[in-house]
Amino acid sequence: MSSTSKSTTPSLPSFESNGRSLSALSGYKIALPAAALVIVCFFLPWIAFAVERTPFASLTGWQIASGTVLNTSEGAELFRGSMFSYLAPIVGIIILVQIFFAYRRGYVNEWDGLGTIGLGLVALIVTWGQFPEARQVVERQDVALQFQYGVMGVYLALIAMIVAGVLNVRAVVKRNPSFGATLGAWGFMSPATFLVVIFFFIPAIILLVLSMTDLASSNFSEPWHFIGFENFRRMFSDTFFPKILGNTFRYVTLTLVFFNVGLALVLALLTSHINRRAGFIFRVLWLLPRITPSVVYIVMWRRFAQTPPYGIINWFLEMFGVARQPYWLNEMPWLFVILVNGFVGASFGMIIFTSAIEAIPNDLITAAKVDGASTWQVIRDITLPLLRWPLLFVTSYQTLSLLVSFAYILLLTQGGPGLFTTEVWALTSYKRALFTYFGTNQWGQGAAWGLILVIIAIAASIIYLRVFQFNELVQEPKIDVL
Amino acid sequence: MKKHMLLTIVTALAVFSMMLVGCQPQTVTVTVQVPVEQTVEVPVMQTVEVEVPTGGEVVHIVARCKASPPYEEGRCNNLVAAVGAANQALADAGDSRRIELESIQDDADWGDYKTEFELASDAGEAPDIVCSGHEHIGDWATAGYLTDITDMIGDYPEFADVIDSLWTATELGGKRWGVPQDAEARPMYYSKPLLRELGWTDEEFESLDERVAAGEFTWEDMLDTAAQAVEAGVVEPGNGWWHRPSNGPDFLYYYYATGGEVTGETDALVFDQDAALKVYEMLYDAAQVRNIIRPDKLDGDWDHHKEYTSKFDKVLFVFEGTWRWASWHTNYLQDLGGEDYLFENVGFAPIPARADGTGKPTTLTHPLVYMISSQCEHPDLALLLISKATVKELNTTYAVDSGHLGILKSQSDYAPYTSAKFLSMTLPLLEYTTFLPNSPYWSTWSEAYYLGIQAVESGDLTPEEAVAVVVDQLQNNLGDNVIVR
Repeated sequence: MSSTSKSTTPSLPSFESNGRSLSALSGYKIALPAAALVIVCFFLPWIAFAVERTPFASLTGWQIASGTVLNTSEGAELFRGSMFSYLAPIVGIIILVQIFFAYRRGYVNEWDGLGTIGLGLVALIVTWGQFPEARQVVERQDVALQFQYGVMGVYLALIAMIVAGVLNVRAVVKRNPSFGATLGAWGFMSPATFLVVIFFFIPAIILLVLSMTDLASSNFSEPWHFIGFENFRRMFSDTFFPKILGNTFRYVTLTLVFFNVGLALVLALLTSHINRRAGFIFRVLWLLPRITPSVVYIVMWRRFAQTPPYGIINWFLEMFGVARQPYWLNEMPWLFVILVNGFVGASFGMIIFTSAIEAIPNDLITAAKVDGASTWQVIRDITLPLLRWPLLFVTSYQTLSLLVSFAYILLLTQGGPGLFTTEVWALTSYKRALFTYFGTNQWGQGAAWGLILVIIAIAASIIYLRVFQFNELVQEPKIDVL
Repeated sequence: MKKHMLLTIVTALAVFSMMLVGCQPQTVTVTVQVPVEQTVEVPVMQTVEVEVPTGGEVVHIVARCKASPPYEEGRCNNLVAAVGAANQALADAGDSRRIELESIQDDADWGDYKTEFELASDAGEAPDIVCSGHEHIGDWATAGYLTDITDMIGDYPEFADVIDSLWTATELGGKRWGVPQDAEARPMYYSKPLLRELGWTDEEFESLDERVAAGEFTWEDMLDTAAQAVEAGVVEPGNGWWHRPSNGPDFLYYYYATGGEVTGETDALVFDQDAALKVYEMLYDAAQVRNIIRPDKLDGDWDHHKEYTSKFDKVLFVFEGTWRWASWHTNYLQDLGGEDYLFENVGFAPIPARADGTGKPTTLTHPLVYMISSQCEHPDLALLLISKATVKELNTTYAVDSGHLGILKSQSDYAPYTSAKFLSMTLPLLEYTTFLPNSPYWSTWSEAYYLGIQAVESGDLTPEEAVAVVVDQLQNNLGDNVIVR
């Protein structure tokens, strides 16, 4: 039972550690003095601040590290103010505990090695983060030389810890080659993971924290004031909350159904059922809206709808003697919002669907035609059923991108005309945070609106993944199997 | 081989489509017709070197300005020009310090410009002098980004020449946070040919400015005249009277004209429901009932607005800024005689009084002010430099170039200023002027109030409903920081 769970678990495999590994322990022999130095540097002052007014109260990690004792409350204040100073001793303690258990055990396991590397890196970042502040203090104290030696000492110690970690990992890999393979897999995934963490997880957490504050232009210089769920209360009691929600739903649904999926599918089918080169040219033409700079694209649309003598629609109407020539954008704003976004959005689905259609083996179609099937019958009975998975992918992906897109609406109507007529959720969030005429930014309020989008997007992703069984999408292509 | 061909076609088409994209803006430039305002936003930096006496100290001062090149560049250039005079004053006073100025000037958006100063201040890298809209004092002084200069102003005799009423715009909490840099007014422009077509005699429309100033021709009279013009077919429906197409300072004087107040005894802003209701009723009536103004006038389309109003052959009354005068004749009327065309066909007056409001004509001034960062290590030198730029010679050059009003008492009889016909004719408008409040809550107040304006003009809400919605928005967003009367 236990062996089954081991083989299916996606985490690092644990393994039997048989026998001692002296070479691995020698890694820690390098690490111990280094780790001790780092811990002392950061830990002592931390204790000193915790108990306050001890003889150490004016010490900072840097002062010990640099071999200088600077009797300065300013240095202490800077150190205390730095969030890194709280993190550093925790890192130090963990490494100490790790070394202690490794020695007691007599051998190292994979967590010892990876842990030392990871924590060493964290400590390195901590040191790096403290560097400018520490230098500020040192500049005022005229102890630059000692400071330099001190900094070099700490950096060397941290690098020694990381080297020790690498040695330990090597020792483990030697004993257990499958761990090496796992490590390789994780290694290949780490750049993508890193990007997701930096550009999604951390911003999402910042957004969450920000939405609990009243951060705005007038209190930007002060520490964040936490006001609980006040921003959310305001948001939900906003008179236009239902209208904006309805607009968002309308915008996403209509654009998705008629363009991003509907038109995209029609285009893909049409262009792949005509002469190959002609089809290619049409597809390139449909890519033009997407590659046109958005501001230029919107100026073109506005001029298209403009009153005489500029508007192209009205120019044609005049040719046919139609007297009524209004600014069409104001007459039917929703039509324009959908068209403008749809023309851009259709190309994405078109490309995905076309590639899927092109991948359908010709044998199937030839066989159908030999049996006397018309083009429509081929599309209905062969092509469309095989497009099921691309359809689901495009639907879900485009739902999420439409949900957070507002640039074209901002440029086209700014959410108007009149009262929130075409204002969607993402636009409201942007306006609250960054876009008022007089430039007073309400980041806290904007973050609250933005956070709802993140929550909706995560919920929609989970639903799509579950309901549409996306796991099947990433398996062997079904078309090739046929 | 086939693949090769395909690749070639793809590349050719990609290049071709990029060329197509590249070609599109040319078409746009032709139709937009505002080449003057399409400026490249590259910050212009200038540094002035100075000679320093032995043992003296060079103080590096950084000034940041936003300006439409080239007309408004005097904002920072005047500071550059004042360095010599400032250093001379230091030498005369026996001060061994000398000012070395670095000026950074571009035409960023107001919102971005404001955010830039806030981020720079937060990072401890704020410029010593920043030139910006006075209403930003509300946020910046509250956030502690500005130096209080109240007690320092008296040390510089140049500041005594600044028109007294303009100082109001620099105040918050009883203190002064900046020095006025420019001023403008927002008059009512009217088309003489269209009034003539409506049956007005030359004498009648030539004396209109005086009748407005005397309170005889009121806002209501203007709307009646505009309605007559629509009914008589002199102008198309919706073209009787036009205001700006998006939010801005102008709409506040509508509220002031009906007797509304924005500031009270406390820091909280005031929202007067009766005054706002009168504004909303007037706009609802004009847009939805009498066809005086287009219901979709607030469509944000400035290009169309500027071009359409420029000749004064389609719209009877236009509420605009004094700076628009220069924009009209420079950008749209060169073929028709430029500024002469405007003098011949267009009249201007203060905004007429609301008979059911204060009964007094009005306008609104939105001065830019020089402010000193609280991070400036030598505020006395920064202020000295500003004082040397606040002189009639430098300010007049700026005012004439940029179409802004003067800020100094001595400019009213200074020949280079008075010879600029439009400026000297509009300077008296400052008598009727009002200002935006300097308050951290102003932006939110303004957004809510404007929402009501949008709602009644588009017909989405009745005036009464609009007031209720605006009150709800204000209370929701400002809480105790707004007093609803």
